[in-house]
Amino acid sequence: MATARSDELRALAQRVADALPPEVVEVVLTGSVSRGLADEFSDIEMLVVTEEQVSLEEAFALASRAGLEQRDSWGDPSTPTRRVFGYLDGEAVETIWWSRDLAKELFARGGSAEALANGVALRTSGLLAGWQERLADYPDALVAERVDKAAERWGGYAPQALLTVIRPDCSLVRMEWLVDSAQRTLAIIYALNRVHEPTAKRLAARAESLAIKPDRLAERIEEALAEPDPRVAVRSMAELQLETVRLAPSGRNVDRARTWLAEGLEALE
Amino acid sequence: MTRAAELRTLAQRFTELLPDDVDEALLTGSVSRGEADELSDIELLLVARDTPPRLSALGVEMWQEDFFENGTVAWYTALVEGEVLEMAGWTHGRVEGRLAGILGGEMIDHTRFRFAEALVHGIPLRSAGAIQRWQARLAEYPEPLVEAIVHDASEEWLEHPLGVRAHLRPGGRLALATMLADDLQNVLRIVFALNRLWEPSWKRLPQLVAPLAIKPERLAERIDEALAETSLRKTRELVLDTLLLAPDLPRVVVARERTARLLRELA
Repeated sequence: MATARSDELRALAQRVADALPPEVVEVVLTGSVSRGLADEFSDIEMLVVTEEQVSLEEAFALASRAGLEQRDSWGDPSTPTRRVFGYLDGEAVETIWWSRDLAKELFARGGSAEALANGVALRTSGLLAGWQERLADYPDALVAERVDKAAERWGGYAPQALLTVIRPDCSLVRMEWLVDSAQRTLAIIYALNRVHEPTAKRLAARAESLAIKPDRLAERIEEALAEPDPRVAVRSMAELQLETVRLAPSGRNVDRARTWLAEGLEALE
Repeated sequence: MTRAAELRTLAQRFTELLPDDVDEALLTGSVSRGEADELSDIELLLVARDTPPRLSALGVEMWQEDFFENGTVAWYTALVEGEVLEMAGWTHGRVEGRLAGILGGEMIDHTRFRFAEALVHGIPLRSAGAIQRWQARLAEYPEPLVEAIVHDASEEWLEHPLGVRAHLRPGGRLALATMLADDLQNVLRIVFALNRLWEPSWKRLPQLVAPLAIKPERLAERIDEALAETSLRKTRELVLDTLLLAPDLPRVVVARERTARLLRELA
């Protein structure tokens, strides 16, 4: 069941969508509001698809007509994606603007799959339903491809190299290794469950619904990142990685990772 | 003989086994800097005229020999006399392309950009002259890169404080740690750019930043503290101090204002 905050923010998002002119062909509510999980930190996130490419100034003007105040942009202005941030009734609203052609191109490249798969249409010409139908198909070949890609950096080189990240003067390198390892672990787990990969936010809630995963997946990631002893932190993460590749189907990188992680764990002892 | 000198001698002996098509071989990493310890391996860049070679034909123990991008790039791991050699196999064209991308400001992400530092500090073990020419092109740090890197590294700090604070939810340490690690890397990228130095990998951080003239106070210690506590406040305080050292680019001005506002909200 959606949180009360989700219902409230969704009603505001609908007001924005209804105030946009007819050249806007699709408005999709994304983010935590679309999944009914909004809390006090949540803002409204929406995707706006226009028939033709709009300039940032045009997007600002349309957002202004839809009631957004204190408008601003963020992100890389050199891409064709337009981003307009603003407030409606004191709530933060992030809007992403794509032309129909850009939407087609970005979708084909696999962008925003998770957001679209869980998106809710606030205005539609059928685009979202088409995307969701295509995203529902998650074939074996895609699972294998994503799993093996995520396991790519785990193995091949010397397992003792794991010891270099526990050096006391390597705190940033170690954190980068821990974060990268956690992200790759999750990429494998989401692929095994045929779920399009979401952001790392609200990991505990997302991990709970997955059938195939190591025990206490989210908790162990949390603990490894909070662990003050470098050796314990790296060992905990490597154990999680090893359990993860053991759940995965065999593949070149997966097979290599199984051996390498087991040897790396021995080196850490 | 020091460990670094031993490994360098071993690398030299190994280089002599390489096929003729590899006309440039560069020793990089801790061995080239004379800092190798018992955990250090040997890192080499092999540059072939045509395509990276198959080293499995050399009769040494290969743990890994992977080719990418239609065989134009290779990664190798070999075990020679009990020591690990990590090698990249490139072509002349790839080196030239990367140098042009770096000097032109198009390949300034940390992963690709740090190639410059490895090349500048590398020691040629075999060369027909190209390594020296490449090193000469990097001898002077191009002034326009300073602003390009500052601009690029500041992007994430334009986000609104509400979106940043959403990373503080209980149970969301991965999202937070990911953001903080990126923030601190971007702090270091800016600091190295302000000092007109090619950015290295971030191992042995206290030693790396000690000689820098332009930097926030207690830089290495504060990075350690921010990471140990996964502290958004400590990280963004360091970000703000770094932005105050940077030139007043439009993006930097906005990033300073948003970071200051976030810090007020966190107080």
